[in-house]
Parts: sequence; structure tokens; C-alpha cells
Amino acid sequence: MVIGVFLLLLFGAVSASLYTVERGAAVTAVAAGARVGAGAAPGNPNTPNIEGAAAEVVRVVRPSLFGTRVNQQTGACRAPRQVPPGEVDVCARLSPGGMVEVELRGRPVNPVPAAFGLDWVLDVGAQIQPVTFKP
Amino acid sequence: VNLQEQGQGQALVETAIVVPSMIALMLGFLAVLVRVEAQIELESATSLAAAAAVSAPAGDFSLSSRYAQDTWKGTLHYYGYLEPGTLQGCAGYGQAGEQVTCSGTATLRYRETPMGLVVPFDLAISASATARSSEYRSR
Repeated sequence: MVIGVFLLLLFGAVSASLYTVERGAAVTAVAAGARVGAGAAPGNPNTPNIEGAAAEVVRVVRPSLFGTRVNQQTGACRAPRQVPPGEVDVCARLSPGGMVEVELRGRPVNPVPAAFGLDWVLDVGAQIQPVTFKP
Repeated sequence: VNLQEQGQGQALVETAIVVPSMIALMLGFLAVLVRVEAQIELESATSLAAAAAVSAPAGDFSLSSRYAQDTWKGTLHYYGYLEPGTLQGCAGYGQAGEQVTCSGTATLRYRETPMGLVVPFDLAISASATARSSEYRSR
């Protein structure tokens, strides 16, 4: 029994550590993406760089998601539970209020089987006011 | 009491000591992970708020403050154990080149999770960030 509890806790600890690294990377990535999105689009300094924002999130987060497929979405992100296991969606858009919204949602690869009840979900986002420039 | 019964009793006592200790150790480990992760989220939101504050035109203190607050509230959300607090200091800037420093707070509600067994209190965390305004930004 002690061995069973020990293994369960060990798996849990490994899984939680991995998830913390992934979530930390995701938070950092959406913040970096939001900063890029708030900046100027190529050729138009007063238009937010929405495409660049999503690409930046993918660039920053991919090395830390350990085998997870990262989908760069053009529209809104799916709900986290609708994303297939082992995939995350990254999306950036301009909100009706004029803010740049960047989100990362999904279910990253997890070495611990879902039977352990550790089917982690990532759902992080960032918003920022776009930068404008003097005429 | 024969030796076999004595051995079983000893195993039971050892299990009763070891299993709760391992669970407490695991919960403590999770509490540390949560603390680190919450700090990352708070630092990111505060940093973005400072960046948003300096994107408002110089001298427009209310707009700068609103930009910062909107960014803060749109980035740091309540979930499970993390409750956003307040954002202070993002009150804008008078002239281009000046700095804006924001301070954000949040509370870790350990008591609302199983981690409350080993950390039976709420933990206040804080972060600050500084951004410098640019004369080329903001119409």
C-alpha cells in the first residue's frame, strides 16, 4: 500500500511540476505576444500587429510544451476542453473595445495517464492597449 | 502475541506515520509550485499594465490609468486559488521620457484547496514594474 501511495504521489509531483513549467511558459508567451500585438503592424504604425502576436506566442511557448502540438488559430480559440489532448490553440484578435487579446488554450501532453485524474488544461490570456504614434 | 502479529502491527504503525507524511510533503511541494507560478502571472500582468500606462498620451493621467487598469483586469483573472488584488501607481506621466511604476497585489487562497492542510493561511503576493514613455508614442 505504501508503495502504491508513493508511486501515486511521485507521478502527481512529476506531472504538477511539468504543468507548472508549461503554464509559466504559456503566461510568459502570451505576455510577449501581447507586447508584439500592441506594437505596429508592418507598413501601418497605428494598426496593431495581430498576426505577429500569435506568431510570437508560438515561438516562445513551443520549446516548453514538450511534444504538444501548437495550433496558430486565425479566429477565436476553442474552449480548452474542446481542444484534443496533446494540442493547444493560440489566438490573437482585437477586442470590440480596441484592446489586443492574446490567448493560449488547450490540453498539453502529459506523461501521467488521464486515469490519475490529472488531465491538465491550459487557459491563459493577456490583454493590452495598442500603442499609437504621433502623426 | 507471536512474531508474525507483532510484525503486522509494526507495519501498520509505520504506514500510519509514513503515508500522511508523504501526502503532507506532496501538498507542500504543490504549494511551492503554485506560489512560484502565481508570482509569474502577477509579474506579467503588472508589467503589461505598466506598458499600457505609457501608451497613453503624456499628461492624460486618467486615460493612462484606465489603460493600465483595463490591461491588468484583462490579464490577471480569478481562478481557484489566485485572487487578483489591486493595481496602484499607474497614474500616468507628465512628459515624454518619464517613467511609470505600477504595483500589483494578489492573494493566494490556499485554504480553498487541499493545500490548505499544510498551508492553513492566505498568502499575499506583490509585484512591481516600471516602463518608460517615449516621445514617439501616443498621439
